[in-house]
Amino acid sequence: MNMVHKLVYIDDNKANRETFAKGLTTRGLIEIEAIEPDGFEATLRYLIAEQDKFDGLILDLRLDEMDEGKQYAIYTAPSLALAIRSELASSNSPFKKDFPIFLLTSETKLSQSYNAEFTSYEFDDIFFKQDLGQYGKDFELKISNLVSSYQVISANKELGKLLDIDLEILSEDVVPSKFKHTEHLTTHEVSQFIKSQLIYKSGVLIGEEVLAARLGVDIQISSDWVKLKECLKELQYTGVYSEIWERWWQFRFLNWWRREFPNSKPLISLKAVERVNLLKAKYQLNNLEPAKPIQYATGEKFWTVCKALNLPLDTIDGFLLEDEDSKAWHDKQYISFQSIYERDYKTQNLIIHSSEKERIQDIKEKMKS
Amino acid sequence: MNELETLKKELSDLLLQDTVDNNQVLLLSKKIAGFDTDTVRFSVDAGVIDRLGKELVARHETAVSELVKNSFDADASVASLYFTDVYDIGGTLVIKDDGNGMTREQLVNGFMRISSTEKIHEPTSPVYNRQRAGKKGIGRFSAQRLGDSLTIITQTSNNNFALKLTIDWNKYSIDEDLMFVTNKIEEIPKDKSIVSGTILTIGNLREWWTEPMIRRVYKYALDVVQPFPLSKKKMIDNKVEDIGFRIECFKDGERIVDENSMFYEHSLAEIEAYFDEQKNKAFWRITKSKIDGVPNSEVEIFKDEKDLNIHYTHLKGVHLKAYYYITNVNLIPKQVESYIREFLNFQGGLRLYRNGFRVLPYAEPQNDWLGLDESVRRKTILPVHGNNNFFGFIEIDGASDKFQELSSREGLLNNEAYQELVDFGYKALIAAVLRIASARGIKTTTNEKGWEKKTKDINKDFILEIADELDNFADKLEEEEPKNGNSSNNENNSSESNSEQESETKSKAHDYRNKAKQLRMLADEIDESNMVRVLAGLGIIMGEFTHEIEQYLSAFKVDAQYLVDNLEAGTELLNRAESIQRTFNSIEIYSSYFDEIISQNVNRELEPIEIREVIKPFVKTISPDATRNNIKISFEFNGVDLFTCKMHVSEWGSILFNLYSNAKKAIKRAGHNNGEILIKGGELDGKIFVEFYDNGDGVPEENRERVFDAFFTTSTAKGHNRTVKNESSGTGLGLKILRDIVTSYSGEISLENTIDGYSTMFRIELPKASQELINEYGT
Repeated sequence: MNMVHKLVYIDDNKANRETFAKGLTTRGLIEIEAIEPDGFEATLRYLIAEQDKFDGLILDLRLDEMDEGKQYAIYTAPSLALAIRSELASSNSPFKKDFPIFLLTSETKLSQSYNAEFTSYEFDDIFFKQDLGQYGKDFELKISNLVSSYQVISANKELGKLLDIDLEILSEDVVPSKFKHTEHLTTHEVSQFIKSQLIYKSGVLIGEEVLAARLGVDIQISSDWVKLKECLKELQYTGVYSEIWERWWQFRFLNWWRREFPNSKPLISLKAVERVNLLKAKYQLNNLEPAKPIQYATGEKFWTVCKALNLPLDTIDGFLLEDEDSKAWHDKQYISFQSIYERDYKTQNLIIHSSEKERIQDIKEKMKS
Repeated sequence: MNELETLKKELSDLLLQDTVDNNQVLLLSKKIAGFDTDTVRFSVDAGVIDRLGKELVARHETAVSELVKNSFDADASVASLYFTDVYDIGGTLVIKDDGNGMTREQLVNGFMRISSTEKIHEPTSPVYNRQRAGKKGIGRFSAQRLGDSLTIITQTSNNNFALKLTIDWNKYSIDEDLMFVTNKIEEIPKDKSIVSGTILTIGNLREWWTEPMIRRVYKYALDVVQPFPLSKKKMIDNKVEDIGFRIECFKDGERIVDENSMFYEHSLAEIEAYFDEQKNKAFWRITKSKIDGVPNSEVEIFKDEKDLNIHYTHLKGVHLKAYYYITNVNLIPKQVESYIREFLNFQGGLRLYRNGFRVLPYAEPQNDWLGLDESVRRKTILPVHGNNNFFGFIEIDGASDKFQELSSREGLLNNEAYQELVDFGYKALIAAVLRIASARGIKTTTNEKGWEKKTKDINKDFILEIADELDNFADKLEEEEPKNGNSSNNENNSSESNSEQESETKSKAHDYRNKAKQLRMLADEIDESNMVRVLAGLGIIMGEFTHEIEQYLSAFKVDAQYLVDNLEAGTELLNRAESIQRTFNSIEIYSSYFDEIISQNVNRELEPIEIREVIKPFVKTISPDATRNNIKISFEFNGVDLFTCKMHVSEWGSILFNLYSNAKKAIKRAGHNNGEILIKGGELDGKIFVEFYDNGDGVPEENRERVFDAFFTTSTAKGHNRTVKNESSGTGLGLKILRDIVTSYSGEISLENTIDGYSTMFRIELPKASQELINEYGT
């Protein structure tokens, strides 16, 4: 899809609005019309009236600030986004089609409180004004991709087609019945389901770090990692959003291993060195290095990554994280003791599961004596 | 002949010689033993001494306090520490005590034998039965830790000579066998002026020493110090009663640290009471007070307030002296409050001395002989007056035979005289306490806040004017002096009264000059408190500013990026655009750091701080700025759960940023291109410490003790005639504010000896959070 997407950008800062719009349009993938906010209802009416002319919306967070002595709005971006979302969900929506809403803000603290990219209901993604200079082009590509994906989803909401897979292969509980028939759902709801349940959380799909951990490969120092990834192409997720986020099907991954290494023990019971040796021999890749345990860890049968340090972790060394939204098909999330000792988990706002506290206390006591 | 046979022969030949080379004997024996095929032995490298010294004694102050505790363990009554030429490394420390001294046997098999068991076998000291305070076997390593050489001169009461042992620690180098390193020991004439004692001379000290460091030695040895150890020895139940222990420290001959500077000077008031034999009445008075408006007049103590004709009849020759403290209300400087409070808790109370002998059990822990604690519990007198508010003593003159001492530690016979004594002591203290309380009450608030408010309104110039006038007045007084002298010569009348008058004039002039000096200091403090207020206001503006500027910076970056992307390669225009981009990135680092710090202020709650959680993000934020200035920042932490007491997160922002910008300036001044900053964090003796190193131009020795003073800056000279311009170029309050933050949590910040590769080290020490707090906040 090579068409140029059009977006409306609402910001009360007159002086910089145009500059930010320019920062997001240097590649010519999207076009932006930057406007000042009007009253809440008026803005909503404007968007409804102009809906044919744009494919997405970008909002500044604090629309209610004073600018050059004038206050344009008395509401903030989330309330406007929420209003649009509920209009879209209603049966007689004044909007004919669903569209993504992005937040553009300088409040970097927002990123600490929640992962807006995947878990926010109001916004499809969040970008920081401070990063615009350096990453404006990447943001532009991402916005363009998300808009395209919205169009793909709204054209055909059938989940199997969107994920590019036969849904029957997936276990029953991965896809709640609600998502088996998606015609009545909004594009936004389907999009959020795919992003937050399948792409964001490791489980049915896995990301690059987990893939590498399960193969026992240290990707920092293995120059042949890219070549190995090439060999795994058939396992890759090819559905919607795969252009933005690289993922692999876990069940295909396991099948692949059994097929390629029929005589080996189950993958999970091999040490990293053993896994890497098998891979090296099979694919003639000499520059693959086995991953080593993080400090204070001992297990080498890596299956996950330390959420704080993003390094391979054997679950026997892992400390469970609190994760309220976790479903049965999600992998459990762990951190290493190293990240607890060095407090890295804390600076990333991760919360350790309460059942682990005693164990941590014991280890700390032992270290003191 | 095989090698073994050769060695055996060599050894037997050697032993037959007139003077035997013992080292050669040891060496040959060792070689012969080496041929033993069935058994092997451990050997020890001489380098072990250096390693143990470094591992067992972390800090130089602890090393000295361990040596002081050894003096205590040797039944000394005083340990005198003489620091000489310690403004730089290579100075000398002499520790002199009047303890038992060491015999040759004790020196050789105790001090010179590593891992000796003396302190395990004899947990108490021989004469006074003191619980040994020194850690086992630490003494020699402490000495080694401190300097290159050690000379011990020691004499006991039984021997008629003294022993002198000289150790050169440099000889204990790696790859030498410990067994073969020899140290000279000789007998020298005894010092006749003392019975027994030990003098340690540590030469070529490895560190420089400041007064705060020397004070820390005293603090670390606090548990062996006793107030008023002025009693003489006496026997109770065939045991010698402990006469107490004190420490005094001298720097280049000048007495700088003792119980007076550590405790008595910080008291809120000094109280005296006595029995006046001429008037046949008892009186009390406050001789010194830190509270304004406390009268120091003499007040009578009545035995019976209802009948003023009843007098004390047994108090002849009784004298009371007490130092009064109120803790936790900003009446004691924060830097010293925590140890004073601790010390009051186990050494507070009024001791009793009779003819210079201490009478027990008065003022022992739990002893409430004056009924002070009981009075506190009754709650009729509100101002604090428990035993832990006083250091003091009551002396009974030997002339009084009314007091009868019981045997053992039972104290005085509870007769009428004793009851009068208790009544007198209690009434004197309570009356003084009430007078102080009322003086504090009149001012409503005596804490610093109220004081600040008062001084803020005073015009600084006005104060300086008065100071100048006082100086002028003093000048005039002194000018008039010779005139008086001349006239007295002519008239030739009593020259005695004249010289008396002369000295009085002199002392008055001196007095005025002192007062003028104090006023100028006060004026400086007004500057300081004004400046702090100005800075606080600035802080608020900065918060607004950084938030506002974020928007503009972001927009600026978009445009700059556009220029860089679209200008033709190799042109001056592109160079300039890239330069603008770089400059702006530096601004952004600062602005985002401040934005973060300021946003933390939204949260008002104090919480224990794991230092990693503040230092790591700080280093991450500041690294791009450091890189641009060619500075490498690294950190290392040691230990689990490095939680400080409850603090505010943004205070750490101030601390780290201040130290960083100081270091940056120092590195810039040094003019080299490979700046390095190292931040170390860890736990030592129940305290959390952070050490901040840089390889800048260092702090010159004459400034070491001044860097924390208000308005001290390295760029401009501090002095009477400093200009407004100077004051505005750098506030000179950075380190002062850090010290205020740190000391307000009973912590310490100091300039310390550094390690190889660095020239400056600031060390911050803060109390560690309690285990309960750590459990609450830890995970």
